[in-house]
Amino acid sequence: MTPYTRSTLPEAWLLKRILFAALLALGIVLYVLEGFFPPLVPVPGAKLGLSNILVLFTMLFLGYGAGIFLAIARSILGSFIAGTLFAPGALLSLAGGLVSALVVALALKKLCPPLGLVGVSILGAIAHNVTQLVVAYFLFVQISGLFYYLPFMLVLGLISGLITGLIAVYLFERLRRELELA
Amino acid sequence: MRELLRTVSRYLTWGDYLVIALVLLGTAATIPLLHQTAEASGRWAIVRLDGQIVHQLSLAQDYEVTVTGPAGETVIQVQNGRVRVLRSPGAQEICMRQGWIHKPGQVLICLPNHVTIEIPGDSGVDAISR
Repeated sequence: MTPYTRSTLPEAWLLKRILFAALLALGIVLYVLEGFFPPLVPVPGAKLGLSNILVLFTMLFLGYGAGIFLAIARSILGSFIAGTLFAPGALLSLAGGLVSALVVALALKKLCPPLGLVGVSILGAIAHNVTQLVVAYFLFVQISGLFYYLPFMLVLGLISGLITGLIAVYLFERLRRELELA
Repeated sequence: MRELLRTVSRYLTWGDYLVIALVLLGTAATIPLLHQTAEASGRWAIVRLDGQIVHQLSLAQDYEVTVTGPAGETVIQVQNGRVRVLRSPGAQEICMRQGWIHKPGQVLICLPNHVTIEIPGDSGVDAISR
Protein backbone atom coordinates (compact mmCIF):
# COMPACT_ATOMS: atom_id res chain seq x y z
CA MET A 1 0.00 0.00 0.00
CA THR A 2 1.28 3.45 -0.82
CA PRO A 3 0.60 6.67 1.10
CA TYR A 4 -2.71 8.10 0.07
CA THR A 5 -2.24 11.59 -1.31
CA ARG A 6 -4.58 13.78 -3.30
CA SER A 7 -2.61 16.53 -4.91
CA THR A 8 -5.84 17.86 -6.39
CA LEU A 9 -7.05 19.00 -2.96
CA PRO A 10 -7.12 22.77 -2.58
CA GLU A 11 -4.71 24.08 0.00
CA ALA A 12 -3.21 20.60 0.26
CA TRP A 13 -0.37 21.90 2.40
CA LEU A 14 -2.73 23.35 5.02
CA LEU A 15 -5.06 20.36 4.96
CA LYS A 16 -2.17 18.00 5.58
CA ARG A 17 -1.18 19.92 8.68
CA ILE A 18 -4.72 20.13 9.98
CA LEU A 19 -5.14 16.41 9.41
CA PHE A 20 -1.87 15.69 11.21
CA ALA A 21 -2.90 17.82 14.19
CA ALA A 22 -6.27 16.07 14.39
CA LEU A 23 -4.66 12.61 14.16
CA LEU A 24 -2.10 13.52 16.84
CA ALA A 25 -4.84 14.85 19.15
CA LEU A 26 -6.83 11.64 18.66
CA GLY A 27 -3.72 9.56 19.27
CA ILE A 28 -3.00 11.35 22.54
CA VAL A 29 -6.60 10.98 23.70
CA LEU A 30 -6.61 7.24 22.96
CA TYR A 31 -3.22 6.84 24.64
CA VAL A 32 -4.35 8.61 27.82
CA LEU A 33 -7.80 6.99 27.93
CA GLU A 34 -6.27 3.56 27.55
CA GLY A 35 -4.06 4.19 30.57
CA PHE A 36 -7.17 4.71 32.68
CA PHE A 37 -8.38 1.17 32.21
CA PRO A 38 -7.25 -1.42 34.72
CA PRO A 39 -5.01 -4.01 33.03
CA LEU A 40 -7.04 -6.79 31.44
CA VAL A 41 -4.26 -9.32 31.92
CA PRO A 42 -1.81 -9.35 34.85
CA VAL A 43 1.29 -8.67 32.74
CA PRO A 44 3.06 -5.33 33.17
CA GLY A 45 2.83 -3.18 30.07
CA ALA A 46 -0.03 -5.13 28.48
CA LYS A 47 -2.11 -2.65 26.53
CA LEU A 48 -4.28 -2.79 23.47
CA GLY A 49 -2.37 0.01 21.75
CA LEU A 50 -5.36 1.69 20.14
CA SER A 51 -3.33 4.81 19.41
CA ASN A 52 -1.19 2.72 17.04
CA ILE A 53 -4.14 2.79 14.65
CA LEU A 54 -3.49 6.51 14.34
CA VAL A 55 0.19 5.88 13.58
CA LEU A 56 -0.83 3.48 10.80
CA PHE A 57 -3.32 5.99 9.46
CA THR A 58 -0.84 8.85 9.48
CA MET A 59 1.62 6.74 7.53
CA LEU A 60 -0.98 5.84 4.91
CA PHE A 61 -2.33 9.35 4.44
CA LEU A 62 0.59 11.64 5.25
CA GLY A 63 3.72 9.56 4.76
CA TYR A 64 6.11 7.50 6.88
CA GLY A 65 8.01 10.40 8.46
CA ALA A 66 4.79 11.96 9.73
CA GLY A 67 3.76 8.61 11.23
CA ILE A 68 7.05 8.17 13.08
CA PHE A 69 6.88 11.77 14.31
CA LEU A 70 3.31 11.15 15.51
CA ALA A 71 4.42 8.07 17.44
CA ILE A 72 7.14 10.05 19.27
CA ALA A 73 4.90 13.06 19.97
CA ARG A 74 2.05 10.80 21.10
CA SER A 75 4.26 9.05 23.66
CA ILE A 76 5.80 12.24 25.07
CA LEU A 77 2.63 14.35 25.17
CA GLY A 78 0.48 11.41 26.23
CA SER A 79 2.63 10.54 29.23
CA PHE A 80 2.90 14.26 30.03
CA ILE A 81 -0.89 14.50 30.25
CA ALA A 82 -1.19 11.19 32.11
CA GLY A 83 1.38 12.45 34.63
CA THR A 84 3.88 9.67 34.02
CA LEU A 85 6.40 11.64 31.95
CA PHE A 86 9.37 11.06 34.23
CA ALA A 87 8.30 7.65 35.48
CA PRO A 88 10.41 4.75 34.19
CA GLY A 89 7.42 3.49 32.22
CA ALA A 90 7.37 6.57 29.99
CA LEU A 91 10.82 5.76 28.61
CA LEU A 92 9.71 2.20 27.88
CA SER A 93 6.61 3.52 26.17
CA LEU A 94 8.63 5.99 24.08
CA ALA A 95 11.20 3.39 23.01
CA GLY A 96 8.47 0.85 22.25
CA GLY A 97 6.43 3.38 20.28
CA LEU A 98 9.43 4.53 18.25
CA VAL A 99 10.69 1.07 17.31
CA SER A 100 7.15 -0.08 16.61
CA ALA A 101 6.61 2.90 14.25
CA LEU A 102 9.88 2.14 12.45
CA VAL A 103 8.89 -1.51 12.02
CA VAL A 104 5.43 -0.53 10.76
CA ALA A 105 6.95 1.93 8.26
CA LEU A 106 9.40 -0.69 7.01
CA ALA A 107 6.68 -3.35 6.75
CA LEU A 108 4.35 -0.98 4.86
CA LYS A 109 7.14 -0.06 2.45
CA LYS A 110 8.74 -3.44 1.81
CA LEU A 111 6.25 -6.14 2.73
CA CYS A 112 2.92 -4.72 1.89
CA PRO A 113 1.79 -6.52 -1.22
CA PRO A 114 1.80 -9.92 0.55
CA LEU A 115 0.89 -8.41 3.93
CA GLY A 116 -2.29 -6.56 4.81
CA LEU A 117 -2.79 -3.92 7.46
CA VAL A 118 -3.50 -6.64 10.02
CA GLY A 119 -0.14 -8.33 9.49
CA VAL A 120 1.65 -4.98 9.64
CA SER A 121 -0.23 -4.15 12.82
CA ILE A 122 0.75 -7.44 14.46
CA LEU A 123 4.42 -6.89 13.58
CA GLY A 124 4.20 -3.39 15.07
CA ALA A 125 2.57 -4.59 18.29
CA ILE A 126 5.18 -7.32 18.77
CA ALA A 127 8.01 -4.89 18.07
CA HIS A 128 6.48 -2.61 20.72
CA ASN A 129 6.34 -5.35 23.35
CA VAL A 130 9.75 -6.85 22.67
CA THR A 131 11.41 -3.41 22.66
CA GLN A 132 9.90 -2.65 26.06
CA LEU A 133 11.27 -5.92 27.40
CA VAL A 134 14.77 -5.31 26.01
CA VAL A 135 14.88 -1.69 27.24
CA ALA A 136 13.62 -2.76 30.67
CA TYR A 137 16.36 -5.39 30.77
CA PHE A 138 19.17 -2.95 30.00
CA LEU A 139 17.89 0.00 32.03
CA PHE A 140 16.26 -1.45 35.12
CA VAL A 141 16.56 -5.11 35.99
CA GLN A 142 19.37 -7.20 34.59
CA ILE A 143 17.84 -10.55 35.30
CA SER A 144 17.28 -13.12 32.60
CA GLY A 145 14.01 -13.97 34.35
CA LEU A 146 12.56 -10.94 32.59
CA PHE A 147 12.51 -12.95 29.37
CA TYR A 148 10.11 -15.22 31.12
CA TYR A 149 7.63 -12.70 29.73
CA LEU A 150 8.62 -13.27 26.09
CA PRO A 151 5.93 -15.87 25.24
CA PHE A 152 3.28 -13.69 26.92
CA MET A 153 4.50 -10.64 25.05
CA LEU A 154 4.30 -12.48 21.73
CA VAL A 155 0.76 -13.73 22.33
CA LEU A 156 -0.42 -10.35 23.64
CA GLY A 157 1.19 -8.64 20.65
CA LEU A 158 -0.63 -11.02 18.35
CA ILE A 159 -4.00 -10.34 19.99
CA SER A 160 -3.65 -6.57 20.25
CA GLY A 161 -2.16 -6.34 16.74
CA LEU A 162 -5.04 -8.38 15.36
CA ILE A 163 -7.65 -6.17 17.02
CA THR A 164 -6.07 -2.83 16.13
CA GLY A 165 -5.26 -4.10 12.62
CA LEU A 166 -8.88 -5.11 11.96
CA ILE A 167 -10.13 -1.74 13.20
CA ALA A 168 -7.57 -0.01 10.96
CA VAL A 169 -8.58 -2.03 7.88
CA TYR A 170 -12.25 -1.35 8.50
CA LEU A 171 -11.70 2.38 8.95
CA PHE A 172 -9.35 2.58 5.98
CA GLU A 173 -11.77 0.82 3.62
CA ARG A 174 -14.65 2.94 4.84
CA LEU A 175 -12.73 6.18 4.48
CA ARG A 176 -11.42 5.25 1.04
CA ARG A 177 -14.93 4.50 -0.15
CA GLU A 178 -16.17 7.86 1.12
CA LEU A 179 -13.25 9.76 -0.36
CA GLU A 180 -13.84 8.19 -3.75
CA LEU A 181 -17.55 8.96 -3.62
CA ALA A 182 -16.90 12.57 -2.74
CA MET B 1 -21.16 -14.82 13.56
CA ARG B 2 -20.69 -16.27 10.07
CA GLU B 3 -21.12 -12.77 8.69
CA LEU B 4 -18.38 -11.55 11.02
CA LEU B 5 -16.03 -14.37 10.04
CA ARG B 6 -16.55 -13.65 6.35
CA THR B 7 -15.77 -9.97 6.90
CA VAL B 8 -12.62 -10.86 8.83
CA SER B 9 -11.40 -13.28 6.18
CA ARG B 10 -11.97 -10.63 3.52
CA TYR B 11 -9.78 -8.23 5.49
CA LEU B 12 -6.92 -10.69 6.01
CA THR B 13 -4.46 -11.46 3.21
CA TRP B 14 -2.43 -14.67 3.01
CA GLY B 15 0.55 -12.68 4.28
CA ASP B 16 -1.41 -11.85 7.42
CA TYR B 17 -2.17 -15.52 8.05
CA LEU B 18 1.53 -16.26 7.55
CA VAL B 19 2.45 -13.66 10.17
CA ILE B 20 -0.10 -15.08 12.61
CA ALA B 21 1.22 -18.62 12.06
CA LEU B 22 4.83 -17.48 12.52
CA VAL B 23 4.01 -15.65 15.76
CA LEU B 24 2.22 -18.70 17.14
CA LEU B 25 5.23 -20.83 16.21
CA GLY B 26 7.54 -18.32 17.87
CA THR B 27 5.43 -18.42 21.02
CA ALA B 28 5.52 -22.21 21.07
CA ALA B 29 9.30 -22.07 20.62
CA THR B 30 9.81 -19.67 23.53
CA ILE B 31 7.61 -21.54 26.01
CA PRO B 32 10.46 -23.94 27.02
CA LEU B 33 12.46 -20.81 27.92
CA LEU B 34 9.85 -20.12 30.54
CA HIS B 35 10.52 -23.42 32.30
CA GLN B 36 14.27 -23.05 31.96
CA THR B 37 14.51 -19.68 33.69
CA ALA B 38 12.15 -20.79 36.45
CA GLU B 39 14.15 -23.95 37.10
CA ALA B 40 17.61 -22.42 36.82
CA SER B 41 16.89 -19.80 39.46
CA GLY B 42 15.13 -22.14 41.90
CA ARG B 43 17.58 -25.02 41.97
CA TRP B 44 19.79 -23.98 44.87
CA ALA B 45 19.52 -22.90 48.46
CA ILE B 46 22.29 -21.01 50.25
CA VAL B 47 22.83 -21.66 53.97
CA ARG B 48 24.67 -18.98 55.92
CA LEU B 49 26.00 -18.96 59.48
CA ASP B 50 26.76 -15.44 60.75
CA GLY B 51 26.52 -14.23 57.15
CA GLN B 52 29.17 -16.67 55.88
CA ILE B 53 28.07 -19.27 53.33
CA VAL B 54 28.43 -22.71 54.90
CA HIS B 55 26.42 -24.82 52.46
CA GLN B 56 25.07 -24.60 48.91
CA LEU B 57 22.24 -27.06 48.83
CA SER B 58 21.10 -28.61 45.59
CA LEU B 59 17.33 -29.03 45.62
CA ALA B 60 17.50 -31.92 43.15
CA GLN B 61 17.89 -34.65 45.82
CA ASP B 62 16.28 -35.38 49.17
CA TYR B 63 18.56 -35.18 52.24
CA GLU B 64 19.18 -33.46 55.57
CA VAL B 65 22.00 -31.12 56.60
CA THR B 66 23.01 -30.10 60.12
CA VAL B 67 24.56 -26.70 60.87
CA THR B 68 26.09 -26.03 64.29
CA GLY B 69 25.71 -22.45 65.44
CA PRO B 70 26.14 -20.59 68.76
CA ALA B 71 22.85 -21.95 70.19
CA GLY B 72 23.08 -25.54 69.00
CA GLU B 73 22.23 -27.63 65.95
CA THR B 74 19.92 -26.54 63.15
CA VAL B 75 18.69 -29.43 61.00
CA ILE B 76 17.71 -28.47 57.44
CA GLN B 77 15.67 -30.82 55.28
CA VAL B 78 15.52 -30.86 51.48
CA GLN B 79 12.69 -32.76 49.87
CA ASN B 80 10.94 -32.61 46.48
CA GLY B 81 12.80 -29.44 45.50
CA ARG B 82 11.78 -27.61 48.70
CA VAL B 83 13.65 -26.67 51.88
CA ARG B 84 12.53 -26.38 55.50
CA VAL B 85 14.04 -26.26 58.96
CA LEU B 86 13.33 -29.52 60.75
CA ARG B 87 14.80 -28.64 64.15
CA SER B 88 16.49 -25.56 65.51
CA PRO B 89 17.16 -24.23 69.00
CA GLY B 90 15.09 -21.24 70.07
CA ALA B 91 12.03 -20.58 72.18
CA GLN B 92 9.66 -19.38 69.44
CA GLU B 93 10.52 -21.88 66.68
CA ILE B 94 9.80 -19.27 64.05
CA CYS B 95 11.92 -20.80 61.30
CA MET B 96 10.28 -24.20 61.75
CA ARG B 97 6.82 -22.67 61.55
CA GLN B 98 7.70 -20.91 58.30
CA GLY B 99 7.45 -24.29 56.63
CA TRP B 100 8.71 -25.14 53.17
CA ILE B 101 10.26 -22.64 50.76
CA HIS B 102 11.06 -23.21 47.08
CA LYS B 103 10.75 -19.91 45.17
CA PRO B 104 13.65 -17.58 44.36
CA GLY B 105 13.79 -14.74 46.86
CA GLN B 106 12.31 -16.74 49.76
CA VAL B 107 14.28 -16.95 53.03
CA LEU B 108 14.20 -18.90 56.29
CA ILE B 109 15.80 -17.24 59.30
CA CYS B 110 16.75 -18.97 62.55
CA LEU B 111 17.77 -15.94 64.57
CA PRO B 112 18.89 -17.59 67.84
CA ASN B 113 21.32 -19.81 65.95
CA HIS B 114 22.49 -17.11 63.45
CA VAL B 115 21.44 -19.32 60.51
CA THR B 116 19.75 -18.10 57.33
CA ILE B 117 18.65 -20.14 54.34
CA GLU B 118 17.83 -18.36 51.11
CA ILE B 119 16.92 -19.34 47.59
CA PRO B 120 18.92 -17.03 45.32
CA GLY B 121 17.35 -15.16 42.46
CA ASP B 122 14.93 -12.36 41.94
CA SER B 123 11.39 -12.85 43.13
CA GLY B 124 9.91 -11.00 40.19
CA VAL B 125 9.60 -7.68 38.48
CA ASP B 126 9.79 -4.51 40.50
CA ALA B 127 9.17 -1.82 37.90
CA ILE B 128 5.71 -1.36 36.51
CA SER B 129 5.50 -0.10 32.95
CA ARG B 130 2.60 1.42 31.17
